[in-house]
Amino acid sequence: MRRRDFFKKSLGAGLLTGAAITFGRVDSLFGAGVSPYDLVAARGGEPVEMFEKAILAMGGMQAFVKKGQKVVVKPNIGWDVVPELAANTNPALVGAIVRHCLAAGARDVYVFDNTCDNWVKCYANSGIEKAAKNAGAKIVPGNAEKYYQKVSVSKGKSLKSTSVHELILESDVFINVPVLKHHSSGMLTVSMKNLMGIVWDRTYWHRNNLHQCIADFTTFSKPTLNIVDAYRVMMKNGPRGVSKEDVRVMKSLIISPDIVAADAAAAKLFGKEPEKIPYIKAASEAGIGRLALDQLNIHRIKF
Amino acid sequence: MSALLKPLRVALSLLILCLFLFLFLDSWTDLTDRFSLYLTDTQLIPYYLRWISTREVFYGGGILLILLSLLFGRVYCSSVCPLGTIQDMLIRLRRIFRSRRRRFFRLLRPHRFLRYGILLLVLLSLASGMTTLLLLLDPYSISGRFFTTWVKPLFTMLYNAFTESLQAMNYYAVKPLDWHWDAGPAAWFALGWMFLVSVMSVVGGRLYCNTLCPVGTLLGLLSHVSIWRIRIAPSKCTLCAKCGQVCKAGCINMNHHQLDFSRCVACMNCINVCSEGAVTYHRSRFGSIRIKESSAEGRRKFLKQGLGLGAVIPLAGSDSLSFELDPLNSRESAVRKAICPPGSLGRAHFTSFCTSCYLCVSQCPTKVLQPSILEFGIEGLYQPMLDFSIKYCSYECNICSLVCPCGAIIPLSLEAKKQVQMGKARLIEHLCIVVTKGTHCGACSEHCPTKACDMVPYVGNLTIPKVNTDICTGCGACEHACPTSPRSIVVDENEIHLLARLPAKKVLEALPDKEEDNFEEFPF
Repeated sequence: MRRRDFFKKSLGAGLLTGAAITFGRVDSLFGAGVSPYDLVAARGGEPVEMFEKAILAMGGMQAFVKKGQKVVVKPNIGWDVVPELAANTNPALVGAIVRHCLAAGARDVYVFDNTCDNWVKCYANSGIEKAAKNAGAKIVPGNAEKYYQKVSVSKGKSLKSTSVHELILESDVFINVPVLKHHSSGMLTVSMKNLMGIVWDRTYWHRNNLHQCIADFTTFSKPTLNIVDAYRVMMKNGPRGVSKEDVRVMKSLIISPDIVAADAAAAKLFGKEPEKIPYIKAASEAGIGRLALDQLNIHRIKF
Repeated sequence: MSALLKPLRVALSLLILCLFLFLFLDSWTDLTDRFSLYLTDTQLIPYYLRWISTREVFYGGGILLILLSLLFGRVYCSSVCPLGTIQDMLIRLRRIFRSRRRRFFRLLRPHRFLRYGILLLVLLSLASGMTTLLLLLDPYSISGRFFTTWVKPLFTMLYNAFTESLQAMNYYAVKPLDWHWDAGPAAWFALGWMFLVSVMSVVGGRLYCNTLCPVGTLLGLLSHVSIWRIRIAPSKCTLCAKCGQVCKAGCINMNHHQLDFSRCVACMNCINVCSEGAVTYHRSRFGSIRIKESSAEGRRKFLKQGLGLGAVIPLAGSDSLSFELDPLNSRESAVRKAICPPGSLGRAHFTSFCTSCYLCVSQCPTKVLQPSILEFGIEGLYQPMLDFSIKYCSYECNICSLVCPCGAIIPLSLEAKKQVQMGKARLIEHLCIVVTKGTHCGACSEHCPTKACDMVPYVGNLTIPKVNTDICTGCGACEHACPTSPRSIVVDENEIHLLARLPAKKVLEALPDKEEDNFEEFPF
């Protein structure tokens, strides 16, 4: 443990000095490339082309990732199934995101998930390991408790504390890449539900008002950017899916830094009212983000 | 030529031991599921159990072994048996640490009564469908248990320490291995036997092989009639006694120039050490009359038992892949909770073939397969079972059925395996979070690979799990995921495995309005 702590501390120190240098060089961290839109949605294209056009509209990846930063990309890799079943995030999309992060100057891009099925098989069978590695990311394990650190969720109602993967705590940028799909208990899984893959003790959430816990956790961890993969959408038998018959090809993608807005738009896409999904409603009431899509500045891209 | 025999034996034995170690440690390649049977079929007991169970001759490893013994004696014991090689390594250590005088072996008593008694008991218990004795004594299984419960955990620990230090250097290309290790009774049992064998080998060389080991005794019977045998030529012998001193089996009676070939483990040490060339393989004239008689009797006994074995072991092995759904089974009231692996057909077949070598435990990617203690009863002592507190049986995996060397788990294609019902999930409603707390959960349904466990409307907008036992495979994903303690959804054992129906594939209904496939429209 000592060694691990030492590395962490020295890493932290390194980051601080790195940040200081960065501040010196770049005119403004926040000036350049701030997005004119609250949410960008694309329909009708292939996963990678939709992403590339949408992120450009958002101001490019450099609006979110600065030179030398440490980036975590967190797709949904929960299940040991092939991409066609749409239980996991589209691998090509993950690869494209990694490439954009590196092109924006990211020092390292890490990809991981705390999977439900066996992690080695999930990483391989989802196609994400290969796509992310080819794009230059580091595939990181999330399979053991030692990687998770206890944090307190001070604003939580049901969830007061939980254990979060150390990479999330250490990195500068956190890009959440959920896949939109039906969910037996959450009713719908999108960005907020995807955050259950960065914590260790999920059963606690299930025991203690799942929807409230999902909403509570967003008070602790807000991803820099949410990129919702809705190219193939599992309409029933979620979140694992049984067969290809459960999947509808929707050819859609949503990008937003606002996790509530992203989930609300995804819910609409799925055919559900966001107000009816308890965790989206609870998070919006807690002021995490905006649920009312008509009040947002949305850019729509058609292919 | 004779001088080459020992180096050849040493090389072969080390190669086979290394291959076995690789088989048990491998977590990276798919070599194990494709080639493991080539290796395990070199082991006599697993080979014949698998042959009885699956009626599959394969390449005939066990038959070759018998032929080899009929030609050259117990070649198996020093070249092929992993436990034999481990003992030889210990004996080697003993040679290093002991003084010159004390490292010599002495002539041992033949222990005929003990040897043949144990062999008889093993065959009798086998004929009655119990592998317990065999499980205790089979040298391959003793090695396998030790590899799985001690060598593999230790190896994994070191390997993971290595990957962790790489991670600390921001290098993630080497993945850590999943491991689960609790030094439970099964591990201590495995260590205990290994310790016993080790002590016996350090004290008396191949003492285990010539007293307790049923394979050694059986091959010893065959070597009574083998064609080539090691002999001491009295004309050349100078009574220097070197051969006796290096004989691990303690079977050389120097004074009479005699070598008890039924106890000889064919290590070739004596051939190697004899400077006069007096000890060599000789072509025999089918032995003396005396030996022939006794061996004939032994053989007759063996054949009789063998026939009994074939007749008594239930025909579960044959045509085993045709399962039938038994409607009565769902009303079974006595629920026992030791679920045996998919492909094992059920408790009776599994326990009467498994020798607890733990190759399946070692290869199980999710580690759901764990040694039981007495869950299967004394006839299934320490045999592997599914432990859902650790993980669940992966829907996309059939490796245990591919590697099982004893035919306790019959090879299944992945498609066939997906339909095996090992047990049935059962909801204990009054414990379920949805009932007790009135909040959403559905962890069980989330994990279910067939949606046998689905969420149905409950009170208000709440949903509650409901199990469709027709398509449930008993994989235990629901039980593993259930957040309550005790679990509110559990898998009940199917004593005889059944055929689950495949989950229905329903095409999605068309979208209600003109939106169908219209990617131009945004619903917001």
